[in-house]
Amino acid sequence: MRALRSTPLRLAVALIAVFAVFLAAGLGTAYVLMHRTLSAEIDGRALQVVAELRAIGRPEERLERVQEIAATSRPDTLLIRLETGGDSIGNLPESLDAASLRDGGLLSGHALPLAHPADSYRILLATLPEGRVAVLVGRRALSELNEIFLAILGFSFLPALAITSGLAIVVVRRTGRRVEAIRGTLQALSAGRLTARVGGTPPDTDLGDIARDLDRMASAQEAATEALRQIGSDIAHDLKTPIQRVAVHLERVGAEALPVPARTSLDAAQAETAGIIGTFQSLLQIAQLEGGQGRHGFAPVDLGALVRDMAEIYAPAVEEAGARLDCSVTAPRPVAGDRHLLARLIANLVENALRHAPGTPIRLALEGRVLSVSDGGPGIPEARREDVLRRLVRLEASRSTPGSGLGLALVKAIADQHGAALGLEDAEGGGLRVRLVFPAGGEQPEV
Amino acid sequence: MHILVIEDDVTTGDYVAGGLRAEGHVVDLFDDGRAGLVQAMSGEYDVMVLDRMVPNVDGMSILRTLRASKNPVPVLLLTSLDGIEDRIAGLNAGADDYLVKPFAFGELSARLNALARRPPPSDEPTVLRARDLEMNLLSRRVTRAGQEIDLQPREFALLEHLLRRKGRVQTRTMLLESVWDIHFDPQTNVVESHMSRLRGKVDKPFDTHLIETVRGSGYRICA
Repeated sequence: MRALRSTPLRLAVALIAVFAVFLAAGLGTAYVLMHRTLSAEIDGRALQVVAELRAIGRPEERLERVQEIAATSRPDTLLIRLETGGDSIGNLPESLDAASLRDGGLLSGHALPLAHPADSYRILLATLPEGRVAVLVGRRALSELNEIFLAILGFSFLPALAITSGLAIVVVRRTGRRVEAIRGTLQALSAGRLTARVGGTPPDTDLGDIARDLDRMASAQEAATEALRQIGSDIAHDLKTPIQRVAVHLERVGAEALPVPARTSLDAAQAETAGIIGTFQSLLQIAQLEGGQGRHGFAPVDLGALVRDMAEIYAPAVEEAGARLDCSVTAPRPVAGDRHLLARLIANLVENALRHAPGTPIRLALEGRVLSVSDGGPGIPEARREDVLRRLVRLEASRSTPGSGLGLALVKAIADQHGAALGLEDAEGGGLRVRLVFPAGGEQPEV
Repeated sequence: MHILVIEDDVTTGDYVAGGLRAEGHVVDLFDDGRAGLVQAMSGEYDVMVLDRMVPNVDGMSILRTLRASKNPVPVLLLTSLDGIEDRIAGLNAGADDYLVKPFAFGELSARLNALARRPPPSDEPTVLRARDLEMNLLSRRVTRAGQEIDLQPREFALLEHLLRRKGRVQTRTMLLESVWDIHFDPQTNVVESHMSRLRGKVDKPFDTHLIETVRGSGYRICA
């Protein structure tokens, strides 16, 4: 049904419809006017004959004139009959019953025993001193008019409509392809394939301009992203090396014999360094995911097995923290993705629950392609749910707990990359449930 | 071991070289890619530490040149980049292991030992031993001092990993990578928790402890 939504197609159909209606209206008006004129002429001819006969003074001459008219008129043009007492003269066949003639009416030519009658005749009945006269004027001119208009319709109007429609189809196809190319490029760009272009030599039209502008915008976007990536890797190099040095110095200090307060400070400093590194790596990774990196490595992932593995890895640590980790997998379906990133996603969700809902049972569940992690903590107010998915946003209530504020942002970036819908909702009995719905398509490797 | 280190940052280079020498290795340190590549092509090394970004010839090019000339020296790639595709690119170029900066010396040392001393694939043992502990890989039974120890599949895998690398330190990240196939650093002490469960079964009921914690590095089973 997408064809019906195509703007060029709709415009073409509308234009053809308008064209057809106007042409039909013009032809129709011409036909009606000509038909009226011809009808009046035919009626006038009958009246003219009667008036001529009336004008003749002597009865013999009148009879002669009737016979003359009957003899000289073609039967498809004029038929006449004069009834005088029991006798009748004229070229109107005798067999025709006088009762079927009605003044001002029409008579079909097929009712007459003639070789070449007109299609129909106009009837005029009048009374002359000798008796009743019937004049039938053939309406051949009207038949010819119909034929002419049918010819116009058949040889001009319909072919014109067909040619216009054909041209419209060509134009619609061509612009449709161009619109499709622009649309495909836009979709590819928003999916993160920044190398996508409409390409070709766009024609000098408005659509061509749009294609050119889109390509120009995509090139700028690609250059900006590349610059950002370069800055990212420069920062990574320029900052990580000094952090490495700090770590080296701290480790050297740690090798010395230290009094207890110094050892405590050193441990704290090393923990902070580890925190800086963690935040740093998460930020870089989110930036890379948002830049569309990593999709090339997608393969079918057995999400059920991965969920069980992650539950197995985390169960002892969760129990040591005084909580419980439940895992349920029902009818698991494979998804297309990156196993390491999906493992990271599940780990972040479990760690998030462990951090913000300590001591409450954590539930890790997979049903088909729907993955959910719920806890029994305070949950997140509905108004703030959008916020927590952004980078470095932490709710006031959780300021005192450790964590970089990047956990859920990274989850969101990984979910987006996998085309999974991420939702935050209330778990049964309070607490937060993070729900991920993965798209179908893990059965076959992506082409 | 004879170790080649190519690293342009002086602090990191001295730290790595100094630490490795202190462990008794012979270390050649280069801060330039071209000189390092020449040395790598000519010398006979047991293992090589290569920074991904060194001047003149970058680490990836050095790696590709080495592999193109069929040089099999095990290479540990050091990098500041921790992208999803960076890691794959590094391993595809022929690196044997990949370590992201900043790292602890213990991690580097443990990984170098693992790289240089890969056990030969032949004469695969069916029974692994450490003192009075015995692990039968065929029947999957574990006994200590004649007493049977009941292990979960993953605990068995963890113990097997340590026993196969007896005497060598295994770091948390190395264990995560080889036992669980996890390639990121969890913020939770998952390895410690698993290790504590394993110790509860293997060490706690007995007088001597087999699994040793190496401070700042990881774990090992005493030889």
